[in-house]
Amino acid sequence: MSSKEMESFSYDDDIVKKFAIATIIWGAVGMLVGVIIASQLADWRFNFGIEWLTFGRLRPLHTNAIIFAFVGNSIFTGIYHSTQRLLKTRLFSDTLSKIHFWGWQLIIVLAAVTLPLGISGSKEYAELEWPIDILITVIWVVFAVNFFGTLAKRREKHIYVSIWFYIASIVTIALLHIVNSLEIPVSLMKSYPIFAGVQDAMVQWWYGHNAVAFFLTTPVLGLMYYYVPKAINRPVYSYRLSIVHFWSLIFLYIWAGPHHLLYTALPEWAQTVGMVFSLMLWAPSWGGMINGLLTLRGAWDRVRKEAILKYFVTAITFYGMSTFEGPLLSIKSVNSLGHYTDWIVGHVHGGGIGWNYMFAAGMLYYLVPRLWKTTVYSEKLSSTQFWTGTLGLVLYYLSMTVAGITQGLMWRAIDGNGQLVYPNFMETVDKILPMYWIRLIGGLLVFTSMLIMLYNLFKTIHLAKKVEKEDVFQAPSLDWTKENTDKGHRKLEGLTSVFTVLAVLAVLVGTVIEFIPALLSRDFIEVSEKIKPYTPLELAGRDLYVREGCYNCHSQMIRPMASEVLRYGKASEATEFIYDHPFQWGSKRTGPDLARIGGKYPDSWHYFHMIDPRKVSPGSIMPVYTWLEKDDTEYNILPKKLRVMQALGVPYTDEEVRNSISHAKAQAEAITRGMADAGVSMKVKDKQLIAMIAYLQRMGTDLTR
Amino acid sequence: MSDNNENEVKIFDDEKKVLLDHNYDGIRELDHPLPKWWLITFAITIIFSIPYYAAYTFFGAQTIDQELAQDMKEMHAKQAAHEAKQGKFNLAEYEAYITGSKVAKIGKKVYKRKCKACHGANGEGGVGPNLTDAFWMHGNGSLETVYNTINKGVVDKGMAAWGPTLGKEKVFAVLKHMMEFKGTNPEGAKASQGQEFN
Ligand code: HEC
Ligand code: HEC
Repeated sequence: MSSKEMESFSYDDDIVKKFAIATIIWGAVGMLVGVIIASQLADWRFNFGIEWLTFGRLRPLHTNAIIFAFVGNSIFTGIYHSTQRLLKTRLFSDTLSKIHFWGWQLIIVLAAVTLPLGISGSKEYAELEWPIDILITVIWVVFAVNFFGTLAKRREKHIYVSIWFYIASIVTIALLHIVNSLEIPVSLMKSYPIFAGVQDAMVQWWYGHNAVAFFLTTPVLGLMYYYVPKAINRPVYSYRLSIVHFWSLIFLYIWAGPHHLLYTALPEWAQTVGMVFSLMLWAPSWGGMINGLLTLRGAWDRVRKEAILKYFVTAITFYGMSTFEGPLLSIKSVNSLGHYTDWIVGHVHGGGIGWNYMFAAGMLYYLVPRLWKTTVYSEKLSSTQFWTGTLGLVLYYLSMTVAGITQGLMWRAIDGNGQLVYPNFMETVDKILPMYWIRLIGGLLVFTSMLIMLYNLFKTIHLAKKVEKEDVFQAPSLDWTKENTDKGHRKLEGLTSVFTVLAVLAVLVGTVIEFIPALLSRDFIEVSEKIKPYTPLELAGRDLYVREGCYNCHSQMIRPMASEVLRYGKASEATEFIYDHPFQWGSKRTGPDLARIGGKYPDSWHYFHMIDPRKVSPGSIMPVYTWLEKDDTEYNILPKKLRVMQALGVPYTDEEVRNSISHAKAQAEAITRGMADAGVSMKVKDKQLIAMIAYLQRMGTDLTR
Repeated sequence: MSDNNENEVKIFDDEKKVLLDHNYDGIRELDHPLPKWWLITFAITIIFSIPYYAAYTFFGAQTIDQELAQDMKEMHAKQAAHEAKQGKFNLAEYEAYITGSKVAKIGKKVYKRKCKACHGANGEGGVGPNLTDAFWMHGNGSLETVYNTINKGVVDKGMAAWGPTLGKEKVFAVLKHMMEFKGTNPEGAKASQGQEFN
């Protein structure tokens, strides 16, 4: 090289190995939970009548495990491995790396314990309660310090496109997590978010959408830019395209959150923003796909032979498909059909299994033999895994897309006489039950393929010879005194702090423009005098609704569409949710919307329905909630809950706070007495089921009373 | 420098002119121009978005609420037309119809196919209420009110509106069939619901 002095260094591959093993283990666990909840929708008996295993509590565990445990560990594996090599330096601090690793695994274990216990804030993919939220923040900061510290001591002046994506992801995830977790604790394991209703929904889906963007997509694109060219020894197709699609992608992504809230009570201008930015995202997303696929030029014959390349090609193809389907689903008219249905579930699994799982598998098959300095135990198994996984993915994706479109069409079918063709919700569930079985088979195949990888890679690791010593490499140190003669983007690639600041600005523009009116303006929504805060008992019931995760199957948002109004009643209005900390609009209707369930049935209907839904609703797939009839309502914490609500701006008087316990008890007694005719005993008056009924019967009644 | 220089990076001749001098751990970069179709796609989405947004937000294109109001007006008109056509129960028409020879057979068949699952083979009840007693939740048990219930259904509680699917004559027939249950007290009769009318 140059006349400059060469420095010797080694890479910390021990931490990469740790993260790789964690990826494999948590991937299998996350998918196992997925298979369990898929079986619960095909047949409710797989809920086993055990509260810790019901669908509403396990579904958040599945999503969190896949996103943060499986994909999370896989991106840390790849980032730590590739960053050292791309920057020609060891990671900033071995200690920070270890804290990062063990801290992250601790978070996962805490999630796996708390979510089944019903300790949940109910914000999708951010369900974990406040102490864990703080821990996540700390560990993320450790990761960031470790990463940026490594950048600072690099021996490669310019940063490669992978590093751009890592930078944008790390800073944006920090921003998303902190803002969406702003909450006030009520007790050690319960808090209320500071935003309510429409604002809470907007913050949540700004987070939810961008968690997909900056956790499941951009870091993995960074990994793609490293592992795909490495695996095939071909140059990256277009540097120019990297620049254009990187900046346009991160700038546009952040705006698109409201496409999760089309046809809701969110003001229409914000919905339109969500739609048009989603459309504009299509090309920047495909920029990544093009750069990935065209890099394969001249190597296609190898794709047929090498499992690693099969994984990469499938991953990139599904990335392209999902990023086409996403904008499609953001078009208002398409969204009105697909939203709340299994089509969306199919869509995320196209991304989750097709892109994330396939990519992680390719990367692990590339990395594990190299890290352990051996060859893969069985090429044949890795190919079997690929075909098993692909078949499962196709079954999953097709069955859910068909189920979603079928059910969406049935929900909206109106006959020539202005009446719903399928007024009974269960008719639309029965119709798609066969699809739920096919999905379960698809899921089982994907899970099986994961187990094959687990076996194959652990065998590989087990058979590898112990490597005691780290390899030593040499490179000259950077001469920072030399004048910078680069121009344009190349110059920026040498100025990492400026680069980082620009990336932050790129994601802040959309955030600020969407949030300022939503969070600061008084007339963002019209407020009606008719809306009153929940009574203490109703609030207790609402917290049970959150605890049980009913939002995983029920929406609380009647969209302004004729078929919805005919089915559920008056369309929901923004004002109805102003005291909802957190909002419970939901994102999937496995059961009917509940926004106006209040007063629809007698109290006793709910009583029997919650204990055994099939008793009053034949064929229902809703789980039983027998424990609500056995466990006591926690009255003592009510004053504290009301006080926190007061602090958040809910207009409870001090007297109401003081009398909350006696008020709740009186309301519970009245409800129970009212059910005496139906054979309900007064003995259950202090049980949680009564609080739940109080909440259900209140829902959606303020405006229409 | 790189720990896995297993193979040389393969570069085709026609790529040499766009090959950059970048080298990151052995990864090379080409500088192909942006694909035209890609640029055009990107441009179209932007060109579409701006006027679309402006139209809906500033220039009074139909809002979601206006669209709903219009759709609901249409629905109500259809419902009213339907009501006018077949909703009103006309006793004379009913009595004339049930003298037909095939009415008993039709009524039995429709009941078996459409009602039995919820109301039992002999009207004893199940998911739906007992139809053999003098207790009614909707109306007072008169031909007219029972006709209305069957016709419009009790959609909230799980019984569909049968008028539109069966048509007036079949509703007459099944009503006739159902009225014969009255006072039979079949086996397994479900407890009475609603109010008693005699
Ligand atoms: C696995 C998905 C699932 C979960 C979880 C679930 N439900 Fe349901 N729910 C359904 C289905 C399906 C129906 C429709 C059939 C029926 O009435 O049981 C339904 C119906 C209902 C209804 C009647 C709605 C109507 O308009 O007829 C209520 C009320 C209800 N659920 C409340 C709850 C509450 C409260 C929880 C949480 C404790 C909950 N559900 C959890 C699936 C679910
Ligand atoms: C899916 C189940 C179901 C089917 C099928 C069904 N019903 Fe019903 N029906 C019910 C339910 C449930 C009620 C009670 C509604 C309520 O609780 O208000 C009911 C109520 C009624 C009533 C009113 C009873 C009263 O006490 O006022 C009549 C009459 C009736 N059904 C007739 C019919 C006829 C005729 C058919 C066939 C054309 C039919 N039903 C099919 C479920 C069904």
